[in-house]
This record gives sequence, C-alpha cells and structure tokens, in this order.
Amino acid sequence: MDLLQTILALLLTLGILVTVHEAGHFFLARYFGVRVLRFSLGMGPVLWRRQGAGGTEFALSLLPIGGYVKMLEGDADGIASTPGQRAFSETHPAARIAIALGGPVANLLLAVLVYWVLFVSGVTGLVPYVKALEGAEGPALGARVLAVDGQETPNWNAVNEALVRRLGESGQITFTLEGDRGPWTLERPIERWLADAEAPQFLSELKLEPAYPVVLGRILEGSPAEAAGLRPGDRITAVNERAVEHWRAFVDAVQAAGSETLTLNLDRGGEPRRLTVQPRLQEGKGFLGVGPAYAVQRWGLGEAVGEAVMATWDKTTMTLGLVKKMVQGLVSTRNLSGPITIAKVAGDSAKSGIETFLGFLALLSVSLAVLNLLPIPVLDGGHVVLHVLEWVRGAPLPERVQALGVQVGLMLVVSLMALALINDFSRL
Amino acid sequence: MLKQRILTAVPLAVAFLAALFYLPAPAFAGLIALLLLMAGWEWGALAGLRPGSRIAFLLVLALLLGALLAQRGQLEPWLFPLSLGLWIFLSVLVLTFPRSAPVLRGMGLRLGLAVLVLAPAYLAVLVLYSAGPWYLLWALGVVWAADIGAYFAGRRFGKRKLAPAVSPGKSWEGALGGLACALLVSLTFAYALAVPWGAPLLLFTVLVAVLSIFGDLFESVLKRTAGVKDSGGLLPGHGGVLDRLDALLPALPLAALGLGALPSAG
Repeated sequence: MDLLQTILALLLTLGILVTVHEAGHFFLARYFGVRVLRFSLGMGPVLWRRQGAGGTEFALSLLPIGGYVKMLEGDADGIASTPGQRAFSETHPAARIAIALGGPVANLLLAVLVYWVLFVSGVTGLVPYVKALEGAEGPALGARVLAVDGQETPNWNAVNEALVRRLGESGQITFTLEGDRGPWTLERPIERWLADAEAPQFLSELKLEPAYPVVLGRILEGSPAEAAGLRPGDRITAVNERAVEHWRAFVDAVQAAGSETLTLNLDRGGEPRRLTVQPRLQEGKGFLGVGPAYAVQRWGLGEAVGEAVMATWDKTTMTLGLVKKMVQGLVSTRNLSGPITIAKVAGDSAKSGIETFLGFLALLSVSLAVLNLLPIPVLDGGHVVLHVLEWVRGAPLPERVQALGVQVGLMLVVSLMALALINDFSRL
Repeated sequence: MLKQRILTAVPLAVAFLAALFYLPAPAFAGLIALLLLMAGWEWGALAGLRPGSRIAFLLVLALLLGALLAQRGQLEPWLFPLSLGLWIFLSVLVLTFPRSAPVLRGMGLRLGLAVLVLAPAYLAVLVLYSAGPWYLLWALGVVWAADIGAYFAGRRFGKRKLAPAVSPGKSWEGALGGLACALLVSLTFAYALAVPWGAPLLLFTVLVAVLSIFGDLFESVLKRTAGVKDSGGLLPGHGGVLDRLDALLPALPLAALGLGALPSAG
C-alpha cells in the first residue's frame, strides 16, 4: 500500500536522523563526564526501556517524531560527584557548547558518510550532449561530450563538476566530443572565467548549450519500440518526415499520434534507416517505451571522501542561503515544508530507488543540522549562544532572561511549524 | 461572561461561514485541519505532555490528518462506525465518572484517544463538506442549537443536575431544551434542502444532539482528570479551541454516517 510505504519511509528516515543527532549529543556528554539519564528515540510516554552502562536508560517512546537525551541537571552546589556522573550544569561552558554542537555535527558527518557511499557506488545521470549557440562555431547538432580537459564525463554531473573546477581560471577548456563526424576536440579560451558572476551559466559563457538529441538509451521489454526493432544507440532524426531535434519534440510527436502508426527516420551507426512503429495507447496518449541514455559516474574510495565533504558543504551553504533569503523576504515562505511534504518526498524517493533515497537522506540530514544551528532559544544553536554568553559573562544569564528566551524561541518554532503545515496542507 | 461569549462568538461565526462558503475546497480542508490540530495541541497538554513532546504530538497528528486527506474515500466505511462505537464507550466512562477515572490515567491511552477522536471528525467534515456546504452547516447547526438551547433553557428552567460529578452547570431541563432547539433547526434544514423528513430523521437528530452532549461531557472528564478548567486560552470567554469543538467531535462522524442514508444527498 502506498500510504504504508510512505509512513515506513518517513519512520526510517526520521529514525536514522534522530538517532544520529541524539547520539552526537550523547557521546560528547559522556566524553565530558556528564551523566545521561535517558536516551530516547521518540518523544512522550516511554514504551520500552532498558538500563545501559553509566546509569543511562535507553528508551523507545510513543511519538515517532524526534527524540532526546536527558542529562543530569543539578544545582551546582559543589557536591563532589563521581567521575562520569556529573551534572550538565557543572561542566565548563566550553564543554556544554561542544555537547550542544554534537548533534548537528553528527548530522553533518552522517551526510558526508551517506554521500561517500553514494559516490563510491555511483551516481546516475543523463549522458551529456552539447551544441553550439546560434552563430557560434562548434557542433550544430547535439554532440556527445566524452571528456572535459581530458577527464571522462559519463554524465551531466561529471561535466558540471569538471567545469566548476575551472571557475576563475584563465587559459582554455578542452571538450572531447563525438558527433556525426566522429570524435573531435573543441577548445574554448577562458579569461578569469566567471570570477565575478553571481549565478554562473557555465555553458552559455562558452557559447555552448545542452542538447537533448533523441538517442535511445533504454528500450522497455515488451514495448512497441522493441517490437518495431528499435535499439539502444539509435538516433531518431524525424517522425513522419518531420525533423525532431530534441526529446521534447519527439515525445510530443509520439504522444500526439495516439495509436496511429509512425514512420521514424533514424541513424544507426552512421547508416540512415526507416522504421514503422505502432505506439500503444497509455492514459490516452501514444507510448513507445523508450528513454534517453543514462550513465553512472563512480569515484575511488579516497577520491569520494573529498567529493562527499564538498557535497555536504554545498548543501550546507545552499540551506543557509535559503534561510537567509527567506528572512530577507527574497524567497517566499511558501517554500517552507513541513512533515507531510517530507513524508511524501521520503516515500517517493524510497520508491524511485536507493540512490534517490540516499540523496534525500543526506540533504535532510544537512537541513536538520543547519536549522538546529540557528541561534534560536530551544534549538541547539540557541543553547550554544546561551553557553557562550555565560562563558563571556562568567556567570549564567538570569533565570528570567532564559525563561523569556525559551518563550520567544518556542513561539518562533511553533509559528514556523504552523506556516509549514499550512503549506503542507495546501499542497495535498 | 455571556456578553464576552457572544462578542467572541459572533465574529467567529461570521468568519467561519465566510470560510465555509467562499474559501476554495483545499483551503477549507486546510483550515479545518488547523483547527483540529489546535484542539490536538490542547489535548496534548491535557494528557500531560511537556512542550517538546507536544510539538512531536502535533506533528504526528498533522501527518495523520494529511494522510487522511490524501487517502479519502477508502476509510469512511469503517472509520465512522468505529467512531460511533468509541463514543458509546466514552459515554459509558462519562456516566460512571468518577469511578471510571482510573481507566483514563495512562498518558498513552489519552493520546491515542485524541487520534481516534480527531481523525474521524476530520474525515466527517470533509465528507459532509463535499456533499455541500449546507449539509455540513446542517450538522453543525444541530450541535450548536443543542448547545445554545441548553444554555438558555438551563438558565431559565434548570433544576435537576444532569451530571453533577462531571459538569455541575448542566441540567436535565437544559438538555431537553437543547434537544428541542436541535430538532427545530434540523427540520428547518430538511425543509430548506428538500430532504424528506420523518421519524428516522427526527430520531437521528436526537442521537446526534445527545452524542454532542456526551462530547462536551467527555472533555470535562478529561479536564477533571488533568485538573484544569479551560483547555486553553485561545478564545476569550470560551476557553480553548477544544472547548468549542468538543461537542462536534462525536456528532460530526455520526452525522456523516447518517448522510449516506439520506436519499437526496448523493
């Protein structure tokens, strides 16, 4: 059942993220000798508990959203505590800052780990084709990009990465292409390339644009395309004698045809051919059962570490940028998502395969870390601010100020949540 | 007290009617979800949750209501009868209070009840609303009439206490006056919507109105076990949102169940 799958995906995602987050707090607390009374996965009434080492109770609680680490809070009255059994408030502010940071940092580390697994096992992407912008010298039809600067580019992901590496440099970028005229190289000079651009448009600056020629990648078994004898690698040039230069035009032509027989002109290994094919009707539209070519890009074990760190950093700055823009009013708060949207995306990404799901898990882990680091009382970032202030002042903030902070923070969090929920429901 | 109640009730009623007739359907469904979530938030406090856990509870409820909205049309056949059965059980708890108090002691049970009570109510609003705003208003009108009628009849004639252990302010005379008002309102709606009326409809209206009283009383039981008077302070003179919705919680699923039996409400 669809709903069940969504719920399971959500529980799995949240379970992983919350466990890792709380484990970050837990291990640092233990490292600084703080006694942890309870480590709970889930909130509210405890359903199951088990006594662990160091006086910690490990528990599962009823409400499967969130979790907590409850530490010993003592009045710092100087009662000599046994090592490893200290109260949280007895520790040095620096230790408390570290404990508060433990959760978000653990989430960032999880993101790095997940990205590493993803990069080592390979990232799937569309096979890249480019063509020259109008009036520029270069391939007029889509030519496949085999390599950029000598580095192999199996998919778009790899092309973008190779280009990003050259940002701000001078010299030339070399494309190794394979077009209708066989392999050839294309060189584009660069001069402090895009050093000042805010949102760089890599390809158009090089007088190139992505092309999506109709080169078949996947042919579904038992599909009309298979019956007609279409093969992977076939490049379709025309449908019913009308030229199709990109996938969009091809898909439109096939869908519009319904179940009428189509004549396809295609190029197979340099030889022109003609085939007829009868699409199947699917939801009132013509359907052939073909898709573009995808390729997997893999990294070595060591190489993937750097990539994973970079990816985590990218997502962190991206999330921070979004938060900043939302505060400034540049990005609509309608982009804010609540639990229902997260559940839907979790379910969908679990359905579309492990690769998508891992990417989503890593992104969510980063978001959780970044949002928790915001300097709002009741969030980890707010705690950090509190402990820093205490460190600077040399004494804790007055109770009244702290309580006020918690009130304000709670109100802020609840109203943000209400906003996110309204968005969620209006998207259903 | 009465003046403040009316001063709050009139703008609320106007705003609600405007939403009922002028909001697009998805926005209305979202608004109702929000109201029920506010009630759930208060219920979480009555159940004894701390703030952090209340947020978690709110999110779980939100997910549940969202799932209901996404899966409409599959759950009605058993969710409404389930709600009726649950409310008969809860009514027994009300009738046997305070002897039944220990049953409600567990926090998990009280949270579970919130889910089992709010979910059918949400679905009921959606079902009645999609039959037409007037049908939803009919069900709401019966409950409100029972409440308002009971208030005035109770003030004028109230002598014998209805449920002294639960809600000392309620009287048998008030309840009967409320039932009379509910019948009057229901007949008006039946006439206006050209629905044939007869003994079954009258009996059904009485059932809905009676269950609405039990909804009100059950919330009082909850508050008594939690030791508070109002469920929250969101509405001046009315207590919390839950105080306003309590009577509707059992009544709407029953009304939605009855909607299926109406000949013209296809």
